[in-house]
Amino acid sequence: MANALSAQFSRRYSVDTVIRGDLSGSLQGHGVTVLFGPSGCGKTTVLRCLAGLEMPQAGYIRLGTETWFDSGQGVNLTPQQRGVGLVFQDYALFPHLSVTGNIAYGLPAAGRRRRVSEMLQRFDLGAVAHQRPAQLSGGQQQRVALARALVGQPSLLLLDEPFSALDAALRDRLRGELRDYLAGCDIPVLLVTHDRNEAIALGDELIVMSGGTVRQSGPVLNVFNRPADAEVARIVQVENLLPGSVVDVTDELATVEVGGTRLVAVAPGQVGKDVVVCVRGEEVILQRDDSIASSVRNRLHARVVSLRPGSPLTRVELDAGFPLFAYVTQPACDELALRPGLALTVLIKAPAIHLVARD
Amino acid sequence: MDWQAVWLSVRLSACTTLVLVLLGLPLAYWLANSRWRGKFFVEAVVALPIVLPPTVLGFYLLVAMGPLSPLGRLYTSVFGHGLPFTFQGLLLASVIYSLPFAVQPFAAALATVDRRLLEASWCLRVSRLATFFRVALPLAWPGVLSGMVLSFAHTMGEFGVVLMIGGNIGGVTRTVSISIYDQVQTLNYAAANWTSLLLLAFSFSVLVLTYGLQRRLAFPWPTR
Repeated sequence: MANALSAQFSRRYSVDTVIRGDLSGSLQGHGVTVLFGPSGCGKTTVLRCLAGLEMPQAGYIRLGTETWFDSGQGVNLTPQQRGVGLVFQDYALFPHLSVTGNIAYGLPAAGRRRRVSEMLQRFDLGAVAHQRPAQLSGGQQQRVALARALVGQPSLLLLDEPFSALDAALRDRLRGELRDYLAGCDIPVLLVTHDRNEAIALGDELIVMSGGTVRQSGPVLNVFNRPADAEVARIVQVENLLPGSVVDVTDELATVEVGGTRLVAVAPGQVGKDVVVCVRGEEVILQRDDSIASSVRNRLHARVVSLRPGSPLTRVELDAGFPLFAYVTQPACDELALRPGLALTVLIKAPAIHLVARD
Repeated sequence: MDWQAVWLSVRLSACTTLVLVLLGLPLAYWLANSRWRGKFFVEAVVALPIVLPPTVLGFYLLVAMGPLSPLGRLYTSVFGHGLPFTFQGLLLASVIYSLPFAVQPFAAALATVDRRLLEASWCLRVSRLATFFRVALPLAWPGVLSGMVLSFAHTMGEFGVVLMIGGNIGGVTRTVSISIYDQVQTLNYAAANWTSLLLLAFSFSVLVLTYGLQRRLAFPWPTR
């Protein structure tokens, strides 16, 4: 791919604070890569280093055939020379300029009018073209920031927590909208977020960061379903993380003991004896009648402890000899007549159980 | 009334303000954005004229401009005459004396400009200099205006430094405040009264105008 980003660098703040960005292998051509991790893990620093706003001490940043930074060759392009599209956390729109003024800000005079009107149309901002940023809604501000970042036809688009300036209700509504706008970009897009739902809704690829380093990268659902280690499993918030010990492995099927109960899991690799059992809440199936035979390997007796309704899924807390969380839809809740104290059968398919080494 | 002295003071104040805008804005921008550890030292030097008695400042400036200092000798060899007791010498002294009155409001105003706006501008391929004029200055202008008015008014009223550097030469270095001092010395209370009143009225109306304008125009665009 001509405009693929490859970068590997480190930025040291003090003796024990080092941010290491390793984006080699991801961001091939178009598609959205999500940089995901808890607050303060160095995601924004990675973004700022890519934009040229901060200088790493070592490593390289290349986009296609262009070298933006190389500590060995002493190359470090300015933000102006890189010209990445950058959408800041709270958009950083110029408060003294209108929407049109903001979008036209960095453009040369030739063709400015045409390109600005194209952007106004594409981002549905025609009606507010002459208003100032403070007069706009959060969603409109986000679109202006996106239009301003894209109008100069950058070769890379970076978004830093694009929803953090919006309230929760608006966030859900605008996620799909942003997804559509980003799908229309044919450049690599890197989006920073600490919100799991955002990562799943917007990302094609996922890079998980924690403590200043990249822990795992790959297609979004791969990473969420099969975290590489216990730390990543915690960061991507797998609902059920249970300490267990492997008692037997035969034909790539592992038997794990968790809180006195034995579970069967598919274990393709070596994980050792002490493991963390990862089960996503969506993969836990609830059933009232125990008599029906099924292919599901793990059948547990459990009791409902509590229900926490949510949209679209209700979280059911269960006691199966160990605490277990399940996510079910509201109609399923109603049909099973779930209530605290109810005894149930819990089904978990063996491939839905993922084992990682305990740390 | 000594109109010659009034006109001289106005000219001196205007020139001082102009020089302070040209020198003070870059200095203030640097102070507002620099992360250099030794910055406090520069800040202390800039603020020195606020606490120093004008006579002390004037004395050192006089020595520095005099024929015994390298600076004084260099100036004399280039221009053929010395700096003390000239308008240029007075201008130099006024600029240094009013430096904090310009630089501090400039720097305070420029520091309120969100750094991310500057970074956003750089990422849009706009140079640092153009960013200063297109983002930092328009957003900081109420503070810049305050600094300009303060340095103009401060120069209009300066006395000690002028006396030390400029002496009392009519049309060259005799400013309004020196003229008033002269008038009082010669017991010409009526003239002193009129000149003082003029200076009072001027200073007051300039300040009223500035603060009034600032209230109305300071932030016509809410930043959030």
